[in-house]
Amino acid sequence: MKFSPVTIRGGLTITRPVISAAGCVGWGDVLRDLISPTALGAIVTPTVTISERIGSTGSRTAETPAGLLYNTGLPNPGMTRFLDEVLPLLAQYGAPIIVSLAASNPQDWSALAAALEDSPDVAALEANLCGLPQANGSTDSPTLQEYLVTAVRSIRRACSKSLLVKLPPDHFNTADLCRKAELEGADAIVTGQSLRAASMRWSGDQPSLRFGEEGGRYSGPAIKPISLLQAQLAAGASTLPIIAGGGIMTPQDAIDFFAAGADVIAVGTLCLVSPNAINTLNDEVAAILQKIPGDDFRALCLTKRPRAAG
Amino acid sequence: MNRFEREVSQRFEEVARVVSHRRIINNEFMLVVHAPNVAQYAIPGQFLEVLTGDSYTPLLRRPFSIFSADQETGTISIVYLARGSFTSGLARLNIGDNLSIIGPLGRGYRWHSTYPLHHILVAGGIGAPPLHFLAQTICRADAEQPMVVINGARTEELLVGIQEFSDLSLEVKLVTDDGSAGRKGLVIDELRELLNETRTNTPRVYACGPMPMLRAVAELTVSRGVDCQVSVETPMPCGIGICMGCTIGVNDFHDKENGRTALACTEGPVFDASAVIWPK
Repeated sequence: MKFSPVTIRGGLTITRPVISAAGCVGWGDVLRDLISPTALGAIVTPTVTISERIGSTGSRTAETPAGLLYNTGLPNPGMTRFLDEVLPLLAQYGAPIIVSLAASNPQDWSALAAALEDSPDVAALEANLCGLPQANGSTDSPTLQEYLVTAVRSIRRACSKSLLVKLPPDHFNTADLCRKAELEGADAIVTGQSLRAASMRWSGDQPSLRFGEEGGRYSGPAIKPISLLQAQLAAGASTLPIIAGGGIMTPQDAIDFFAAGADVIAVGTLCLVSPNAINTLNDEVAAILQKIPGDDFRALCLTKRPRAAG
Repeated sequence: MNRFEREVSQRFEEVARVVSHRRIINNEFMLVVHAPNVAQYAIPGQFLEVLTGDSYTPLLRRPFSIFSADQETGTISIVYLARGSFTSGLARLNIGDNLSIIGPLGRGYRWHSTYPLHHILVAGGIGAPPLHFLAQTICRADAEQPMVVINGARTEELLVGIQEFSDLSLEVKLVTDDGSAGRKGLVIDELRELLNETRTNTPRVYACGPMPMLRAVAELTVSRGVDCQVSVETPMPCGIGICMGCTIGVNDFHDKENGRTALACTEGPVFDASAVIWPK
């Protein structure tokens, strides 16, 4: 079988099975000499907010067995400078560009989306619902749902490009959040957001929280089984294309996610270790698929997908 | 050029074969690998990101300053202390084994000058390797350039590159906190005396070592108006500019007023001492 391009309502078409997760090709052209640009399925930018953010000033990363904890605090140049200084450099890769966004109120979501509406270099928007602290603070279902609904409605009002909604890593709410996102006009679901996690640091016999009370975020191969379930839950709840990430390191990992219901694979932490991994994975996934009898890779999906209305 | 444009040199991801690996003393090792692309382009102060093993522990690469590069043989060497799980894994590598490296990374030391300089290299502990590469490079370019190395550590067995610096026939001043080798004291004491001496040429200081040492060197040189470059030590999970983990506060032309956060991996690790905002 083979991968067939995934067309997402609003204009985005992903022609290769593996894309970069948010932020994993960095700002600007920082990886230009380390990756073959022709083979990227798509690029998701680091998260952009309305105003510039310096990011966390303390410790930002910690490694665990098979995992990476981080707390960058979303450092970014703000939307105006992103458009002027970063976007033209990202456009040189020639891959469709998906801009990751975070905001804390309807006005900011709309303003971010409106700023991108007329940019020919931007193929799609991704709403990062875990970007800012207000989204992290609660797993309370109505709050999370309200936050998602606000984001999707506000963006939808201001921009007609493809809108991807990146879900919080919360299995209890995944199905509901998927249905809400779809109802409000999202065009695709992204799963595999890093998990909230803590790390302890010892100075002699004095412990301290490395990332403060808010905690950090946890990614890498350690979270793959958790992400795999979220992809499966999302695929079972939504008719929208599912872009699934979370701990994918090998071509077999990617195929596992296809079996869970993913339409496209996103890799994050792997890019830190091997910047050109997206290209390698794209070739290796194609090679594995080729050995499996059948036409379309979607036949691998074990999850019963709901039928689109109408 | 805006600050998102890549201005570091060409980098390569290479599978590097171990051509030599030896214990220098105690847990200090020198690893030489064949990596012709990296060797071709590396300059002093740049580093490699190294990955060993085929499991997810360790998951991420680790940065190592380049100790020397040989364009003719296409080899790169690093010197490291085996003291954690990563470096202990590195110590088990045999000749002929492969490891994955990315390099050369970051911005190195600027040492060329249109006027004569007195080069002063200040190394603290495992901060010595990039300064060895710098000393070697300056020697090869012009053996007549006056140069002195201050090599310090807590104790004798933590001094790195004693033999290799002396092989370059340089003036080397050893300093240890406990007096077990060379002068008892801190490198900053030695540096202060050296700057007090009258020498013909303008001094220029290059430093690498723990952050408190670098801060002391920076404060001293800035107060004396001496040109100084420091190679900063930060955790560096990716080394290629995407994880945003290796931040350092700087005051430079982008924001002289308020300072800004720079990534040590792409904008450093070598910075002008006067530009660094030292962590408290």
